Amino acid sequence: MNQQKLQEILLKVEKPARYIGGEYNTPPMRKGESVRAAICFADIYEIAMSNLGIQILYDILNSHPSIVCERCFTPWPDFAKELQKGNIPLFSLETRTPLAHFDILGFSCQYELSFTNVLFMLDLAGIPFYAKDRDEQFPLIIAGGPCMANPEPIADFFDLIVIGDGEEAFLEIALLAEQYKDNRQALLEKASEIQGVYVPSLCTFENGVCVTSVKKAVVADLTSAPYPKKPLVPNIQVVHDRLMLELFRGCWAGCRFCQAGFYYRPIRCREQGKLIDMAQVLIANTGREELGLSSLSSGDYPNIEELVKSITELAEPQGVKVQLPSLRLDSFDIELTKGARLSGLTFAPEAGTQRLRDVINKNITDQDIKKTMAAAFSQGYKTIKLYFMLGLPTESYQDIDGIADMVSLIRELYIEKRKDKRIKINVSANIFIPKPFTPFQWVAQIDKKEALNRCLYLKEKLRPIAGVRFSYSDNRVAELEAVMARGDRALAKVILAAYRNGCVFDGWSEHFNAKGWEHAFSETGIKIEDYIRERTTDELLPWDFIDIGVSKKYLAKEYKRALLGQTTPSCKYKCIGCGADKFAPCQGISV
Amino acid sequence: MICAKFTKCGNAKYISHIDMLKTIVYTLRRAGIRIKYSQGYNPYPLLKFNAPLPLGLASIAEYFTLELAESIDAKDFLLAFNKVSVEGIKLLFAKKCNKNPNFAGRIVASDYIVEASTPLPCKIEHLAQTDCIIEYIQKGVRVQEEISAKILSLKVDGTRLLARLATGSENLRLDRLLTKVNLDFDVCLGLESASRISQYVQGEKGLLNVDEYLKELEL
Repeated sequence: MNQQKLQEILLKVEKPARYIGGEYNTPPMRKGESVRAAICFADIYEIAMSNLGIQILYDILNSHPSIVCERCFTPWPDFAKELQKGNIPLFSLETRTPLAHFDILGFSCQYELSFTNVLFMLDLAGIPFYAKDRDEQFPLIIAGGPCMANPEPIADFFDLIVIGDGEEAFLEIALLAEQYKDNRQALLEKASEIQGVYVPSLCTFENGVCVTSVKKAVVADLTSAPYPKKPLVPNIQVVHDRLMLELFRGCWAGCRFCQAGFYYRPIRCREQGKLIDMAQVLIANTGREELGLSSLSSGDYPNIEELVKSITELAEPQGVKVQLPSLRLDSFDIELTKGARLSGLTFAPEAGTQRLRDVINKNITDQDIKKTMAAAFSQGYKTIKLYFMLGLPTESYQDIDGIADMVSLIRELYIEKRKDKRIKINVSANIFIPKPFTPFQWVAQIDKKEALNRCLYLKEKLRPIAGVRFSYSDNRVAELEAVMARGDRALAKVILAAYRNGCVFDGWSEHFNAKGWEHAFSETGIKIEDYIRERTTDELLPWDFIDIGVSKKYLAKEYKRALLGQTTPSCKYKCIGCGADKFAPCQGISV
Repeated sequence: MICAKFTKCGNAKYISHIDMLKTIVYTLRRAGIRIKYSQGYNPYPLLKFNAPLPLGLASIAEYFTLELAESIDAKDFLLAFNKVSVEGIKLLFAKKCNKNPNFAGRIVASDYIVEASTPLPCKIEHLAQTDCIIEYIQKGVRVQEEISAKILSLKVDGTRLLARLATGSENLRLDRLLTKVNLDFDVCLGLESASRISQYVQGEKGLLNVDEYLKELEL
């Protein structure tokens, strides 16, 4: 591409460093490779470069002698406009190669509301949207990531989809692509034999639902799994501006609303010694100043205190701060946060009453909350952030009152302990979305109007409490997310229609175009109600063809228990037989 | 205290001033060089730069000073830094100093070089000799400014424009001057083909190149 032209464009746009690469640790891009791949991310640089999965896959492919892997992220509309104006096809960060010239494009789909961005990128690259309209002269286009728990809404746009852990499957696909460069059909057939690979064009349908079983890919041993020793160091500030240590995959907790908690089972821990080695290597090779422990519930890691202590001891003398993320109230250990900056603590009780917390299996009690808060306040914490969900199954207005009561109680506790009233409580409420592969996958999504009513009701309830700031999610966005999460193949045309109506960056409130989506549904004759309705447990669901290990029978059992208000204990104590260990051993109780 | 002269070229010219601080700190940590932090609630590294370079302008004459937590030879410092620095950011020299050279406060002028694709009209040189008014938008307000006093010299050499402009508290941004030149002389000069090549402090006998100034400080 014309470098002079690019330089001129870069000076016109916000944060030009998003588009040019040049980060420290960029691997060699010319090495006599026979396959060129690009990892694509359907959001901007700052979000993409906060993602650990991207760095892992980038490293795996670039470590292979015959593969080179570059990156391309969604350009912010200012840059996209300049590309279109200058007739410049979307290009990679590293060598500025147009996307259409690659052998493979691998899209990481992290969020249902970034689906239009996938189309935006294909459009900017001059690549046809539908897989059926592309032949060998176009790159093999793959999707992966958490949203592919139910890939159906965007399946028609992809040649292949990786379900589950991408480490092994993505490399195998890349090697096949090298072998079958001139025969797409043979490539697809061969790839469909790899565990975790779903080929949308090769499956059988019954009543509009795919019935060709696809098994989730699972990395059996996390300790020996590859991790990037020299991850890229962004030149600009990114959203999660820190090194990430992945402690384990899976989760012990079994919160019934949490897709990740079921989807990423079985539990696989990385050994402590390995984690400490990784921390040292990552700090030395990147020089970054923060290190985060990343997992679904890091506090549940066996001997977490010991791990945090060892890592802090090696990080602190080098001026590196250790961040403790996603602590569950019950696993929160005040000892862990000693000496950390007392800026604020974040907790997610999710529901305001014990009854509703039992329904969702968030196994924390009012007593736990009191105890933890009391400990936090004696440490000197002055800001508390609380996350709740509204619209949970069986929720009543009494449960919402419970949230306000809890907030009041926390404030009173603070005043009693600290003898001052300057506590700040930030309350954030998200509208619950029933996701596939959870015990709530059959539940109806709360009606859009009712969702807003509940948000406003809580807002009123919190108003009299001093020092509280309340924020809540957009009910229209939540509805769309529910449709996309629970959707089927028919949605592809809605997504395309929405894109044609100008919808991009739907997850960004300043870009969310409700009208564009409304028209897309009415143009295509697709009804939102069909997707957010309650489903029966004997119904064939669009994502049933995916085998994640955890059985549908188990999920149904959990659903029943939920409606009875019965909790299921953490699998730390006893294996509950969810079925996830069928692909790899579960370390739930063995560690 | 150590002071260093460095380049900010290639992709690195798109790193903003705030991100530059981080970039240098990351590089020092990779190099295994321990630096001093401020005391207090939010410790920050004791690292100081000259006044910010506009985003997108390359430079081969940037400076920083740094307080080290350990004693290290300046030559070793330079080698260790350059071995692990990001593309485009390289130290040109590093030396120990006992007194803070106060780059941000003392620097008063910079030389820039701008490359055009075709020969430039010599008339551009006269801009500095008459009243020269530029217009730009600052914080949403249209501003007019008479800048002839801030243009210390302007030379055309074939396809090159060499400009010495006021820098620091009395500052003239190169991009603003170029907009004026483009408008008045129907040329097309932009930051993309410009770079800063040296910086000056006010010496006893006129402008003094910062490199010379540092030599004097040493004595």
